[in-house]
Amino acid sequence: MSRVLEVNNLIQYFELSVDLLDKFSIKEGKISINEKRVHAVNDVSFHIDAGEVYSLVGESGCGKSSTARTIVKLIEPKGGSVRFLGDDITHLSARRMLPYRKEMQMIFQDPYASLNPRQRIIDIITEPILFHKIESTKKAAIDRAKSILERVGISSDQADRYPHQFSGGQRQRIGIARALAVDPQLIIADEPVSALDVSIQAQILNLLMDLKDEYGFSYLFIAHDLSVVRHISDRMGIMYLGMIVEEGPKENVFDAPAHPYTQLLFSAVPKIEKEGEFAPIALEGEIPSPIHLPPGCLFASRCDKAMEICKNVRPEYVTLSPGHRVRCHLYTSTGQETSIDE
Amino acid sequence: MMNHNEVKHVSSKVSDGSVLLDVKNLKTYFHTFRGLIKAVDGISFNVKKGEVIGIVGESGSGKSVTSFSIMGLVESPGVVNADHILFDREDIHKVDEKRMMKVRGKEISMVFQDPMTSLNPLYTIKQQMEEMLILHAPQLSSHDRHERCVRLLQQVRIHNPEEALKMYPHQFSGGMRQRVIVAIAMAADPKLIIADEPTTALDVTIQAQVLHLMYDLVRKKDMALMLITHDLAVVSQLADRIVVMYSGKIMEQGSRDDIIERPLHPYTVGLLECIPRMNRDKERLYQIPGNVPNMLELPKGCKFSTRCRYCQEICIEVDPDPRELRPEQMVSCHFPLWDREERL
Amino acid sequence: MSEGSIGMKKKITESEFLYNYTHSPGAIIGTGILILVIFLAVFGPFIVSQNPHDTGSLELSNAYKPPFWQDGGGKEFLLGTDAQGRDMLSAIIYGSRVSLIIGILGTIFSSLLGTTLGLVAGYFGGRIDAMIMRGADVLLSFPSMLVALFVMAILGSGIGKLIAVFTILGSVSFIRTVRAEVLSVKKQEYVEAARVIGIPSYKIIARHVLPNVMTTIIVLASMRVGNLILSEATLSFLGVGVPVTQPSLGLLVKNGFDVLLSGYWWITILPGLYIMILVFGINIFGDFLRDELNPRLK
Repeated sequence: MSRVLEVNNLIQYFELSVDLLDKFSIKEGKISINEKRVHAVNDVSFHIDAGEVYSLVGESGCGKSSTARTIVKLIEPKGGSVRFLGDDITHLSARRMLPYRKEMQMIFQDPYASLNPRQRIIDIITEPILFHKIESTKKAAIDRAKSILERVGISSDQADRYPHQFSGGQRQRIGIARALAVDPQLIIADEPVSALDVSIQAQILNLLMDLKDEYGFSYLFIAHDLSVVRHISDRMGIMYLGMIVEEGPKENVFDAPAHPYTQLLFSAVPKIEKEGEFAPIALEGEIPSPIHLPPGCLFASRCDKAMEICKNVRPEYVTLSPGHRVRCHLYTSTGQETSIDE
Repeated sequence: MMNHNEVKHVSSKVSDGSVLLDVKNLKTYFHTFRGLIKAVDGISFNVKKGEVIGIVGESGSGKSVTSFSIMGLVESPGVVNADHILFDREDIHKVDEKRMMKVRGKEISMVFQDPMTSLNPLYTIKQQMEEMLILHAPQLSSHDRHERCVRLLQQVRIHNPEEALKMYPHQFSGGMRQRVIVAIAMAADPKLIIADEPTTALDVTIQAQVLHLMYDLVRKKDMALMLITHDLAVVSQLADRIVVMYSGKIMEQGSRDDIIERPLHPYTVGLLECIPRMNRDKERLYQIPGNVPNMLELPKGCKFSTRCRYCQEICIEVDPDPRELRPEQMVSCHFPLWDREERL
Repeated sequence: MSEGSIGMKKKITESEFLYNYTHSPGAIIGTGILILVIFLAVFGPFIVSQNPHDTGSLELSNAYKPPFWQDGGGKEFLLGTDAQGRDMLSAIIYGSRVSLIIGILGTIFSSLLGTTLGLVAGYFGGRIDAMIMRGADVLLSFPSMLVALFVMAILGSGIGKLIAVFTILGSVSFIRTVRAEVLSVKKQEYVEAARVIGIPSYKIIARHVLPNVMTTIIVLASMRVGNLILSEATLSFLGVGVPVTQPSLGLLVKNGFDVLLSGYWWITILPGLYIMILVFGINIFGDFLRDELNPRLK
């Protein structure tokens, strides 16, 4: 199977002190420079094969969206590398990046913010087609746009309308059509159904899966809703404070969640079926600030199984079963084979 | 962490069956430039003392407008009409604003969705908690008030309540803020708490915490909780009874077990089926076709008729009245799904 | 709110614009004043009897005639005459042309300059943003009236110079407002989508950013016109604005000011009143636009 995307040790942070003057402060009569950085993505590695759906799951602020935006280079990577279709695209200039942009598209979360309110639907879809010269004439581009719109379930008679004339679910379909228009090999879907009504979510999820089978692209799926992730993914990574703490094939992670954070996350999801009283694992402690990350395991402050070592040493990956690996000290001393991420 | 036995014990103290809130034929219409929006169109339901009732609906179902109508908070161009809204045998639809001010906060209080905007950033937690107490428990001395605030914060499990009282909202995380809001809502010991999507803005681990806390507190204090949400899983876990709304109408209401295990309305069935489950693998999700109808162009007959796969002629023409098909299970459908297993 | 009803709300607001307009007395009065003033400014020369700039046509014997409703006033000079026997009605209408030209051109040029710089600063950020904004801060740190007074005193009076000074000084508020707006539009997902497609910055700005900050610019511009007319009047009153050969309303006020206390009140009060009405009309119309178009006040 060919590898579509390979992310190695990706790092992303944001400077808080933008102004030069903020960088200096006077402490005890001395001028000191303080770099205030929000560490959004800390050493993230994963890969996606052709036709595969890989999900990054986590709560808000875990860095999943920053990871996605760094991969498409909406934000320049601060460290690590991104290989796409076999080529290193980490530091490509905007112009050299263009051919790769055609192969990598994005679907956004908010159907109300992802379409330009001043553009007609047909213009929204033809813009990428003409820009990447998928069709040479305006007319051919319009025809192509219309057939894609029909495919995602928008009648082509409505192509001349503006976004506000559509409902949220329809807008999300239009957003999907825009991503499809250039026939990409990887689609990064950033919470594509979380802003939609429950009855619309199923439609969009089914559509996303049908399109994948039809066009044969891969998904990087960013989500916080575990039941959606369970439904859609082949493999998944659980993120916490900018790190993938557990990764593996969907079945392995769901059947035997290893990391205490994964277990906590799973227990917190309310389920339709009643399994006794609703009693999630209680969590104590505060989430560490992404500005000052602790030296040890990032989850140690909230973990009820935390040991002394957890506070000081950041755990490396431990492979539990083929493809299923976890960053947790609980598994380093249990005689499991300890293999450091290659 | 909550002990399991304790939860069992607490939850066994369910309602004694007497009605706390009785809403009859509530209609809230908005007269807009474009036309009449029937946000809530003739709904009736009741809340019993000490019970948790879940109101489930998608956007545009009228679930939030319902709570605003009960609280008398609907503003122009909205007009609220009802045969009655009896709260503790008093028709709060007919009382004047002065009386209503007493009811709000003291007898019925609300918890809103956004923990970031529900608290005023300019006042300390203490000031905002005391405001509620000064209004609704003026007999307390300032020392007693302080004690009360501390106790309330302890109840919502905020550590160092003395410290927390001096802080401003921005010093708290979203989950802590929502807990403070819950504490404020409980400050005057209301009989009913209306929580409108109280955890939608929170992360799933925090959501679980806040829900659990609210549930635990209302059970302990024998308050009734009206939980308004789009999330069936949340109400399924917490509610004693569930009301399912769609386009301003109640499609189906009944006990939690009836609605979740034995739903009769095609919409309820569809809603339950289309949600991806944590413990079920399926190739394709069941899907309800079509879009939520525009509130200005609602179908004449059954509001769900445009998306219902069992739709017949009569459904398009006649809006079905609610019928009690099982004890306490009211369904508004011409063709309830008695045999849903075969028909899906 | 609901999916359906957000779309719906949007629809309502669009045709609501007309509805609200017809139901807003301020907006109607404002437009009425504006139409009248602009009509007079454009077609005035064909209506009034005299060209007040043509000194040859003035008769000193007609000096200090009062308006028609006072003793000694007549139909020939409806609003009286000034010290040179100039018809005040004609002078006001010609003066309003000068005032309006300065107000409108000053606004157009400052909005063009300010919008361009604001777009660049907001979209690109970083060093270029810092440079533009520090420049704007410097301009803002002086009272703009004082700067205008100072510069005009050095350059000497002239309509073109006045417009140039107003363009630069007036651009600051456009820069700041547009930049702030761009910062929020830039974060919208449709802009990110365009970047993911690979569309170059200048096209993104033109196609995706500018159209979405346009209403803000229009609202701000409508508020600026009145402002500039007042500034121009002030400068002209102080004698550093327009040249005496092309008197604006402000200069007319100044001309009559010396004889105000001698009983010839109309020479100064009437042009002053006209400025007031004109700016009032522009402002209430601008207020309406702001209330209607500014999404943040909704």
